[in-house]
Amino acid sequence: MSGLLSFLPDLAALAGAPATLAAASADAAAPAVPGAKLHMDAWSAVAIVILVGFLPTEVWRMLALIAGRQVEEGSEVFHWVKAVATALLAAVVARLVFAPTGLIVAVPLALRLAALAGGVLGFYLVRRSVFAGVVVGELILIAAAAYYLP
Amino acid sequence: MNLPIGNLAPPPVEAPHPHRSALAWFGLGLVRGVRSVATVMLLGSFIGFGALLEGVGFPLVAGLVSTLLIWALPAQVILVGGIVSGTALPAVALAVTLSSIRLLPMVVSLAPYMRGPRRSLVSEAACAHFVAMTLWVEGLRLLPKVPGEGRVPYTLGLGHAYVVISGAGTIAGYMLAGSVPGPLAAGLLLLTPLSFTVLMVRNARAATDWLALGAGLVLMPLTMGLDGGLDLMIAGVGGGTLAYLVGRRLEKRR
Repeated sequence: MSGLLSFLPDLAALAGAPATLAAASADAAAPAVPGAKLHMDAWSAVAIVILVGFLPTEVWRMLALIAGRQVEEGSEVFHWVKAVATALLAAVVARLVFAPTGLIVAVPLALRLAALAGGVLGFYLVRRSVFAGVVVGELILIAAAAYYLP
Repeated sequence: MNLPIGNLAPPPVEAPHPHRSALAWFGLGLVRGVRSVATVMLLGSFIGFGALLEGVGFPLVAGLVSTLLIWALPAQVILVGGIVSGTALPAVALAVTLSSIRLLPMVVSLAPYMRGPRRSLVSEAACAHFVAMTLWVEGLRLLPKVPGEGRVPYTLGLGHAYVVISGAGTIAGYMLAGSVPGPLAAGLLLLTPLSFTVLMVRNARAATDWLALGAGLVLMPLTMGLDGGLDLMIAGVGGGTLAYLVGRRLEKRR
């Protein structure tokens, strides 16, 4: 999730805003940065969420709907777009593991990858159960985190 | 009546699946959405988001609205991070826009399964709103098995289940913030990449699927130094196109 943030500081710098806080405060697992508490009334925040968050996201879904209205299941365009979507999702996953933020950083990359591999192995060994895979992967990571975190 | 030789009885004329009302399909989608691994994943991931809101002092109501309306966690994290850091709002909007481009190929490739027998832009738009990583990966597996007349209400059922669970996670995370032990918090951060890896491995059938999965995983760490979301473009669009070209050739050879 927060891996996608890596380009935010650049934008923040462009906009003349302090770039350091962007990385620190958007970190999903970090404890609150002292003094970084936001003071904003709830309804202005809701308005900003709609204008700056909802609209820029929804525009892609609606554009895709129009662009994809003629796309039929099983067509060549369909196969290509599906491959791009799969690779994009895999890339997002890879970024979360290779360049994570938050407490998980304390766990070495090799062990983060081991947790992923353990998850896939658990899935295959326990009757193709996604749940079993997730449990195995989590156990590996939580054990590693318990060792590496103070 | 004589039995046909060799068990060649003609198939029944009626469709094999019983006719269900739209409401019944919605209910089936809802139940399917709640009773799946995605529930655990969404709860865990959005507990992390709720804790982030509390940590930076972002109003819970606004965070909850972001879960219900934006419904794409990377964009939400960028939004909250940007606002809290005092980044100019147009710059935040641009960052959110860039991160959400990935929704486009997801909606295009899932859209053929989110149509009823009678095309309707309104119901297709309602379905598209719920498309994010979770609905895409689960929809690709579940929706092809749903008959045409059930696809729209089934998708809406799944989507509502996911969004409500995520909203509950957001609230729970806000309440629990700070009381989650470190190793467990680290575990919550692994939940998203781990579940999607396993879910994608389960979904992969054709050569193209495996190649696209591998291309994304391998190209990302190689291109990670590049700025401005270029890494996602290369790994996603480049890797996916390469996987399509090679994979389709392999599949046709069989």
